[in-house]
Amino acid sequence: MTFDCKDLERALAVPELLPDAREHAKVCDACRRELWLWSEMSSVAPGLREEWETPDLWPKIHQTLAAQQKAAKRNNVRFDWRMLAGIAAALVIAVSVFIFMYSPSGHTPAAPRDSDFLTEQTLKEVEQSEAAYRASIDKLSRLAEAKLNASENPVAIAAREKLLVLDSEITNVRSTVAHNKFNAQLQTDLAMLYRDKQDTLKEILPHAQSSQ
Amino acid sequence: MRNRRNNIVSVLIVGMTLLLAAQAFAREEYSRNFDKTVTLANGQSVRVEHRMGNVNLRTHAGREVVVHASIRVSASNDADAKRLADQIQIEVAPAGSALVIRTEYPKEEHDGFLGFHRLSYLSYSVNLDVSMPEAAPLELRNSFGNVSIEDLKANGDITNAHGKLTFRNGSGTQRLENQFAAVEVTGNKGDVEIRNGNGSVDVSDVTGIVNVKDRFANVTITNPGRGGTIVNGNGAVQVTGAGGDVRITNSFGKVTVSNVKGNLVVGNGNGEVEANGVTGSAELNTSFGTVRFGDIGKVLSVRATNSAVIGRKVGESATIENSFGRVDVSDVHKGIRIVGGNSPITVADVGEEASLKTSFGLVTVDRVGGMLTVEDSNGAVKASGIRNSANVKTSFGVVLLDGVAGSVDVDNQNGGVEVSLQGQACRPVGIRTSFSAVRVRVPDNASYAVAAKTSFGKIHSDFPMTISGDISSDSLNGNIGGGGCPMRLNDNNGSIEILKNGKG
Repeated sequence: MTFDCKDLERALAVPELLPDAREHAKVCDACRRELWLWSEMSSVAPGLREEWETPDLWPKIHQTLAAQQKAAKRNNVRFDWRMLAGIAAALVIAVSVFIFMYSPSGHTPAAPRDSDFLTEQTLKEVEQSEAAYRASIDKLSRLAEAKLNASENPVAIAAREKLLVLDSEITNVRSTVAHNKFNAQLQTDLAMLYRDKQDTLKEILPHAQSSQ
Repeated sequence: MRNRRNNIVSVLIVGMTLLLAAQAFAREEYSRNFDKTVTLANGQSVRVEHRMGNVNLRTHAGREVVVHASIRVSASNDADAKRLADQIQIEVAPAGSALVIRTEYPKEEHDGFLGFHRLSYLSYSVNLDVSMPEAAPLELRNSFGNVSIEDLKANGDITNAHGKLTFRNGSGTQRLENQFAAVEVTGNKGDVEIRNGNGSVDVSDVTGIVNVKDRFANVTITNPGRGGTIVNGNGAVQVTGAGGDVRITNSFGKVTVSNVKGNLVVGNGNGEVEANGVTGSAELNTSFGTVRFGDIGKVLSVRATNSAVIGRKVGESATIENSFGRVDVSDVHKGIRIVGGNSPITVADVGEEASLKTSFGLVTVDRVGGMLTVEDSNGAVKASGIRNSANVKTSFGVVLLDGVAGSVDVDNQNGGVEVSLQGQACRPVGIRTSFSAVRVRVPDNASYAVAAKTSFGKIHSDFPMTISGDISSDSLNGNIGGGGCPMRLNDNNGSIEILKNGKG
């Protein structure tokens, strides 16, 4: 076959034509460069494949599905107005009884209007989320840190330093939180540190992988 | 009827269950206020030591210090909440030359607060509002809460952590420190020093010098009256409208600077640099990020590895060193020196001398007021409008020189050379190459003493020549016109042509 530059694209798709293309490239600078670029891309492309942890992806999907199901169910249930009125009346009674039974008879503390504190239930949820979050971050850490510690890449060095600072601060804030668990500001600060650590790990993971 | 009764019973059961659940998770919140007003003695400063809550500080022209604290406690029962709230003390008392406002929480023993056994069920916070004389110096320490300071007209030393620090409309020398949260300064008549870590810094309208040290966050400075120094890492830095010298050190983030009345020094690593409108000199260093500049008033110096350098308008001279990135510079009032490696170079409108060195890249030059020196390898050179002499050395690339007003010296290998000479004045020409042609275009009435020699090629001249010595097809010595001005052309394996200007 008389190979011409215009056949090059076809040769890249049909392996049988490649020997002719290589023969032609020996005398054609433009085609040689094209072939070299393709070969470089073929060798580099697999290394560009990236994988990362998405610990909150499935919970979010689950949450969305559950919300959709709930909405669908709500649409299917037909409330009788008498039933609704009954529930409303019962709730009014229940709340009245609650206020009557539990309101202090003497001194009334000046309750803060916008609370700085979590409720028991919220704290329980926060602690559960934190545990799950920490487990997920620990997993991510194990994945990244071995690679990070072995790397002398400047990005990895900076990330190592940041992770050390964050870990130390997480320990500090956790010990503060332990004595002031319901303080919403402290819990927010702790969550922000975890998020910062997670973001740093996610950001650094591709660099750590590429520096191997 | 029975159905209706069943419904009511069900609803009541649900209601009671809710009540019991609410009781199981019930918490009591108790809050009490603290208020105290003290007159500040002359020369006395104010020191605030606080944590676990916000501090809002305002000033006024009088002498009183007004302290208001909102103490809040959450516990599983009202008695515990009240007891802890009563034990949290706000002390307002003089100590040395300062009036100290201190929040004292009950001391902890073993694993909890004194006298409380259900420790994990207690939580607390205190928000502090202070109004103080504007002329009194301030020292403030806080953590785990926001700090806001307005209208302080004296020196301040503020440290916070885990809470936003906001400073507005002050005067005096201010030192602000924070960690893991932002610092925001809007307006200060005087110098401001800021240290932060893992939190952004945003400063505007400070009449004095602004010095910032930060890490892992962005820094934005607008209108620093007397310039400043920014040391950052792993975050972007932006400075706009500086009234004095600016020095920036950064890494892993873009540095953007505009409108500086003074000199600018940027040392970046792994990040872009962009500088526009600097009245003084600019020194821009980086790696792995493009350097862009515009309208530099005095001297420009750029060092950029693995980076392109692109810009225009330099009031004095420019020196650029780079590698693995193109250099594209125009409108340099004085001379330019570029040393690149694996970098194409494009230069236009240079007032004085241009010295350009690179490899594996095309060099393109237009309109140079002084001498042009190009040292390239494995790259072509194309130059026009050179008002002085041109010295070009390269290999494996063509050399095209058009409109050179001075002498021409070209040393090439494995590449053609084409030179167009203009005017009648003597412009000595020396051209050496191999494995390609040499073509020289000469004005009609020019005079040259030609010495041309080649091997495996021919010599052609459009001009009638007075020949001296032996005549052969690969060697020629003779005069064009009156002779006198030297033209030496040497080629190996290539032809030599001496053509009249305007002829193809």
